Amino acid sequence: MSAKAGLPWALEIVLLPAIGVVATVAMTMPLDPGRLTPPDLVYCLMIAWVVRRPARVPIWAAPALGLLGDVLLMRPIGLGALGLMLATEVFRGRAAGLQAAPFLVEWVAAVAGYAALVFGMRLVLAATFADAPSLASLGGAVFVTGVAYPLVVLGLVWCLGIRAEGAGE
Amino acid sequence: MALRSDSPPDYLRGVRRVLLGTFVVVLVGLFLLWRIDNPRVEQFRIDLVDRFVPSFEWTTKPIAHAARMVADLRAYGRIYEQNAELRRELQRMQGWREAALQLEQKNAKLLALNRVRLNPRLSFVTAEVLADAGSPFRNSAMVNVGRIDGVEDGWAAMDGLGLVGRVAGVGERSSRIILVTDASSRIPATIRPSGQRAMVAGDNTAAPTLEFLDQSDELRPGDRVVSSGDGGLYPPDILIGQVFVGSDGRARVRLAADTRRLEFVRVVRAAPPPVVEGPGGLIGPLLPGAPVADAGSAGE
Repeated sequence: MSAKAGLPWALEIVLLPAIGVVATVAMTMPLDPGRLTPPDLVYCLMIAWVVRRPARVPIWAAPALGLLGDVLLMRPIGLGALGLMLATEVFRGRAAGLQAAPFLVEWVAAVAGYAALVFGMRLVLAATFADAPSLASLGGAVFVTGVAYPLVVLGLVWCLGIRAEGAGE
Repeated sequence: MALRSDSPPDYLRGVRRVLLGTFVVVLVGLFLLWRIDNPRVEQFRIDLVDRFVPSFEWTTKPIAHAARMVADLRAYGRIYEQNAELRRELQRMQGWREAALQLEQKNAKLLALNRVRLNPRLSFVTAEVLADAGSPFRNSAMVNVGRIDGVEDGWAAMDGLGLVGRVAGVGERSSRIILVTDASSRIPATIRPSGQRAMVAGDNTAAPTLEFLDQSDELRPGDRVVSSGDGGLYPPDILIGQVFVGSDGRARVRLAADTRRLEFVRVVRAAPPPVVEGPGGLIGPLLPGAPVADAGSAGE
């Protein structure tokens, strides 16, 4: 299974966390403080990658990137990382099925997963009596992330050659 | 788990599961720690951000700048309308300038009349916005002044015109400002012509709501909302915005500060209001050995 298409194995394992860090920093850019929610690029990246190469995403990548995001993006610490990790593992389990399905199905699944993640986080926050963001702003976040997902996939597939390991392998 | 034929062997799967379980326990523990000992974890977060974000400034700054330039370029499309609008505005401003000049003269006369001693001016540190929260969970902004510049928790931040928020979390070289629009922001305020007290409460929308009003029927759209300084959190008489009625029928504040395009903010040094302590002492002849009252300062 080594390097039939695209990058060598070791490089690919380093590449994902590196792009994740860059994406996290990109999300903190001072474009429009307090008004517009940027898309959750790290989530898009993790899901798109794990659906295409479930065996190449190291298990520590999701919690590590999630924690970094929690700290930098002022999210509740630990909760975002937990959500990202669970989502990644769920998609890792369904990767084979999603690879066989058309892209539209994968897209819908990714957006639904993000919605579940964000609203789940809100439920946990409400249950622990912490300040929870309004439903409207969470809906906006889901929408923006849904729009960003195909773009992230396009970038991965075209620029980096992260294609699905085909069934013929 | 639907694993394929080239997936790792069984013993590795066991290791995976153990690892996953460990991560889950650690992350849940972190979340609980954040919930229980919030101030300490937040301080840790600030320290980390302090170390991390300024070292990435050279990447984010040019991109943010380019994005702003594109937004400005788009404005060129409507240059004719803008020109007309600006001309109209200029005309209106000339009217105001006249009024301001007259007021200034009147003010100078009145000041000369009664030799008012003005409060020491609010002093401030100007800071550049480095990053914003980037998630719907907090409305906040990172600025590039910190403990080194003498900034302390709780100081107010304004842009040129109005209140932006307050400092919540100070690092060595950076600090975080919770915006007025954040859901956890509450500011004691006075509404200007009617003199009512109210709370300006953020709810993560662009216009915070007015709460705890005595008589909401005395409220008029366009009334000015200024901070009252109650509780000593914010300095008094900083402009917050104007009252208007939102689409949901609640009284809201249209902010004077442009929180949408924050580039620079002033972090205002909190000057605690003077406290009168005890009675002034008896008026009478000076006894030998008694401390001389500071009579000299009144003449200045």
